[in-house]
Amino acid sequence: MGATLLLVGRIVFLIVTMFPFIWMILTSFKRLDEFFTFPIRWLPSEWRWSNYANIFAEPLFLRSAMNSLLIASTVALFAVVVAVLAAYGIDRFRFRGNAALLFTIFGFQFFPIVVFLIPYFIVLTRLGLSDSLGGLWLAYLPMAIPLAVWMLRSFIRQVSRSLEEAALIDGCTHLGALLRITLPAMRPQLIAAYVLVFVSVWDEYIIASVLTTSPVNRLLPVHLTFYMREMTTDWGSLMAASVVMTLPLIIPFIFLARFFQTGFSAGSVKG
Amino acid sequence: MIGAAAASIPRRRWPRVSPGVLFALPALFLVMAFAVYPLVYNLYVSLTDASAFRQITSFVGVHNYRQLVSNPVFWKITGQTALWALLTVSLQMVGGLVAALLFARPGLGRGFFVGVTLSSWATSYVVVAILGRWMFDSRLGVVNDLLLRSGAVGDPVNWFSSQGTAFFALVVMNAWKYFPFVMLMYLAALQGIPVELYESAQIDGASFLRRFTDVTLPMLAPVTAAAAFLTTIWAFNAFTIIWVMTAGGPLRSTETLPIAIYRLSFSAFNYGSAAAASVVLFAMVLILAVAYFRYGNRADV
Repeated sequence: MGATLLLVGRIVFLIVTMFPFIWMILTSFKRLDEFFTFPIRWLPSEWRWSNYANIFAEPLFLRSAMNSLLIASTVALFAVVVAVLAAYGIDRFRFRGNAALLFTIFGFQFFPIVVFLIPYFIVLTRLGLSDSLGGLWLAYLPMAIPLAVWMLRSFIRQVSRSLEEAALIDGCTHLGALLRITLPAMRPQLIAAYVLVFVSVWDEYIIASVLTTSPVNRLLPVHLTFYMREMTTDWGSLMAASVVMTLPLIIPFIFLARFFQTGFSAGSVKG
Repeated sequence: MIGAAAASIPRRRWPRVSPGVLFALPALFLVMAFAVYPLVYNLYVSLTDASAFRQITSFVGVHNYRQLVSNPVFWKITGQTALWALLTVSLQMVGGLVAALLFARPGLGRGFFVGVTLSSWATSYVVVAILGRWMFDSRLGVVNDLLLRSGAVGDPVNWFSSQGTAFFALVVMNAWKYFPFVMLMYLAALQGIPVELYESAQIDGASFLRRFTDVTLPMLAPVTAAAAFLTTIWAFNAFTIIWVMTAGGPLRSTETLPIAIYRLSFSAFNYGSAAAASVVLFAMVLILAVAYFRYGNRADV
């Protein structure tokens, strides 16, 4: 009885919270004139792929998708590598300024990005990287690294130290212990951190929109806003592009849910 | 004596740098390189009359700050920022708690439900904002369709034409994106509550409701503080969702500080005032961040 009630509760909750998502998918299959019929129809009269065909025939859409993929995947990789080292250093060693260091690295992700736009623009212009993907790449690092450190620190804390200590006694260096003992024990967690950082860069709009001007340097979120114009909005392309932008990320999220959760539970005992 | 003194001589004369610092160095360097210059730059520009329309920039002291503080629009927007944060954080916390309580017990496809619930978190801000515009459209939106069909309203609601309804749409969409994060934090905390506490409460004859209010809720207090601080900081910083959904409208009534700073920089090109407003927003967030580390980080996420 209680179990049935709980299951019903879970299903109802899921339907309500997934509704915007379902709506996006339904809309993406509608024909242009179906967007503007009133009262609205919930289901497309026929399931059409034409909105998807349209966006994939558009060179700028493909270009911005490739740009986003390139930037997000490489920034996330670099950030995770740097952050693994930092998380290991902060968690495994007690030293003066440990907390201050943590605050400095963590603190950055709390700062409003809008504050950094003009200074970033100036710095990138001086480096000769204005309106370039390389400039964007650099601009995303200080945002991606703190996020990765945050996640990885709680993952590293969960890995037992005893094996590491045994390796150190046997003459292994700290770096060797990290690479040979600690990291192999946390492969799924590394993937979880990578996915989280990937999503945060894939997601980002304001830096991308201010620091690039040429259409060829657009990232996907910026490209999407170009479907919305003063007078008309191309809802068909928008919804299809939104689905394409979101769906591939949901699959890893579903599989990694367990690890995200342990990432947030690791420190229930403060160390 | 001599032997004891010799033994106490430290083996190294120079303070040894902990390997911990060396490990953290690359991350620290990269973050600092990108944080320090912008902060100093903003502080400096906020003391000048820099503008795109001025050839020569001169030092004006705290003039920009004085103007900001005496401007009623600044206070109105600060109030709106606080209101926006209060509303959206409240909804996220409630949504996250309800989800966590529903999904706390193992079995019945728990992993599947938790995983699928995360998908709104994986949805890009721009997509969330676009969905918001589409669903809350006055004529073609599904929200009005549902309200009209159920008879809750007689005429379509013009969501983006008044402050209250526009804020409602924004708050709902933003909470939709972030409640899974709160859910994860609560789920982790719920699993950390020792079963013995419930057992002893049950032996004492506590009802289901009493066990919830007297065991579950107090045990969730630290994680509630942590999640509330974090999501408040994010709400203060939120830009994209408001920019794409309402652009601060109608009539700047949903404008928050980041939007106002963006407008000052990129529409008014008044860099001095924008920098001053940035420093003020920065100070507000810094206070929240310090409070988070002091009081909210007990749950240590």
